[in-house]
Amino acid sequence: MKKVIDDKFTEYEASLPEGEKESLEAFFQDFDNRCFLPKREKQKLKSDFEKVLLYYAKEGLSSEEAYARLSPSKLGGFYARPAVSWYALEDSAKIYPLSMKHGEMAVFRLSVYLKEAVVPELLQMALDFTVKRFPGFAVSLKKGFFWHYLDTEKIRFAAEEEKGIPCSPIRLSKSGSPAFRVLYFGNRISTEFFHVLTDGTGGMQFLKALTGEYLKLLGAKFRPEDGIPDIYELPSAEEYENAFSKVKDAKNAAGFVDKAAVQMSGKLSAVKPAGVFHFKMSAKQLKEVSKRYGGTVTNYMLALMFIASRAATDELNGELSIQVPVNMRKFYPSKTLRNFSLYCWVRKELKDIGELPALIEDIKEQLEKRASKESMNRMLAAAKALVSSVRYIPLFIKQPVAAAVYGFLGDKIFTNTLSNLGVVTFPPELAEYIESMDFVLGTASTNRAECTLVTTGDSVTFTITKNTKDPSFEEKMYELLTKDGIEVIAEGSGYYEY
Amino acid sequence: MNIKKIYPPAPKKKVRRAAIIKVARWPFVIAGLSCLLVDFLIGDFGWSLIAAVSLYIVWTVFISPAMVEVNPISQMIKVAALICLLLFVISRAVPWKGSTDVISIICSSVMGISFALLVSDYQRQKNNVFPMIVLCLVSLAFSIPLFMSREGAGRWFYGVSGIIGVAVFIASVIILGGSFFRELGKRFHTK
Repeated sequence: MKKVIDDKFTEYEASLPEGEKESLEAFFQDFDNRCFLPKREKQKLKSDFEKVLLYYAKEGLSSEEAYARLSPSKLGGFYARPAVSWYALEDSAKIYPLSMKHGEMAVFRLSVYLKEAVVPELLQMALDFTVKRFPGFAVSLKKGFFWHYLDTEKIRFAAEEEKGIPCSPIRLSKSGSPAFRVLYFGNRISTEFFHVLTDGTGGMQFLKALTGEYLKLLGAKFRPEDGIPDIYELPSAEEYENAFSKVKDAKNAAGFVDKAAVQMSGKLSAVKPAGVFHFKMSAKQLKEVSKRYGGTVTNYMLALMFIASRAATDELNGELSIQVPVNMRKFYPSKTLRNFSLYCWVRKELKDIGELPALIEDIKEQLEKRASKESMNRMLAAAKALVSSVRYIPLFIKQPVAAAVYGFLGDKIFTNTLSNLGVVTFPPELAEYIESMDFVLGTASTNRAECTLVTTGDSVTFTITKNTKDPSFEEKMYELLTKDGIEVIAEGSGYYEY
Repeated sequence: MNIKKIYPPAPKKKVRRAAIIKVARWPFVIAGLSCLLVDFLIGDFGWSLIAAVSLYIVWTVFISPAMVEVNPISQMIKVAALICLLLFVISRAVPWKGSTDVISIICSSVMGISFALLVSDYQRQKNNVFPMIVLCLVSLAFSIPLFMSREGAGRWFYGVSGIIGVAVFIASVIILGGSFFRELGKRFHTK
């Protein structure tokens, strides 16, 4: 393949008039001056430029315009400087490498659906340009004596065609392996992150910047503004701070454990996830229906999830519990791109799950209490105390103990999860290229489903990641939504046949 | 509910490590416990320890390898350390005076090969030297007392491994320069 590209590029080079040949030479000279990667990596990066130049030539774009869009100055100094930085994991991220095991890793995915098919060459180039703005993502997970940490890697990060199952574990073992991946399939650009790097908010910033740069390379024009990170801005220290350290410790630490919740029935799939389902709806319609019941979109969806979860279990007694991640940035404004979220949960006795309005009212009350700043502070204090107490225990002792404890407790106190990323905005010039978005949570160990919500424009996507092939939960959700008059477009992977 | 498929078909089924681990876990646990039981019955725990360490080596190297930082240096040192541990256990179970000699030869060789790997692929391996540094220090810590306490020609095994340890350590510090201390800072952070 590389040989074909090389040949085509040589042909292209030869076909250029003399003046343009000089410009091309100057262009690659500029590239050489900005790239000090090892030979193989440098060649890959250079090849990315060549492929895009060929693409532009095929599209009939003038050389000046092509050079302007692709200017090597967009690489900044990222590929010219050696990797020296490293990042300690923030308090809430420390558990992810300790609890991961073969075939199971906390990976989440954020996707944007464009109105036209993705051009792979441009996406790769956009990634080459974007990554410099997010040095905290250009890292590899390493083992320290006491804790894991993230070590900066200077390589050419690859955007690949999607071939596998969404949110499958990221291979971290190889030297310099990144902890995220960028994928494309049809009109979809997806970014998958190992949770150790960032949370949904940080990941979304990366995806927005990547999409913005991709569309710019495609010819879109927009001014950097608040809605989208400017990749030419220098990264700030605040973006990579451990924002948890800014929070003053609460006096009463509490909040990690609870009694085991009822799980939805159905055999756990050997391959996780067993399937991913997206329900695409009109944001306006969903909001109106939620309002009709006197709740917010989150309250309403949680209520439906309780009803659908009840329909998906054979248990008659016990409590259902839905985990709700809480973005701490709303209590402590922070620009951090790293993990800065905690979680609370809403519980309901199976026998008390009844009419929607009463259920929504109860959920609203529980959320007000459990997702409050005070509750989160107490949970944070517990997390900090736990981390602090094992700080000086060597990792080779801590790791098996943490894995065993996590294996025993795991996510058993929850039945399901609802993570609402909220409304994602794009500048109007870019919004016209974007159809919708989705957010997929990687799989839990015992929970049979995990759900998310994300809205952009008038499109809201409710995603269900399934760990079992029993379709009861998603079918009930679909039925409840359509019964309330919401038009739902169901898309997804179907069930993987393993 | 009609689902429009928007994902590529699942890749071809392949044998997954998670499945192997799931299947292999119990035979390994049963094998380990059986050894213990037999030794308990015959009143000698020597060989069950050898079996346990061997099972652990097979488990950690082949069945459930590390998920982070698997690189030539770390893998070679890990395997060497496990072999040394096995030799040590064997020497306790079966009276064998030469085990420490073999261990020192293994350590010396592994230090030399790791250093060669560092030099030959500096860009990629410079962030992977931590296990080698630890091996140098551990090797030095054991070599000095063994060299002092032993007599005869055999003591030079320890002398050589001590010298190689010091040489590799110093050469690494020189080659890595500032990176060496940065590497220590990262590896021993408690943040």
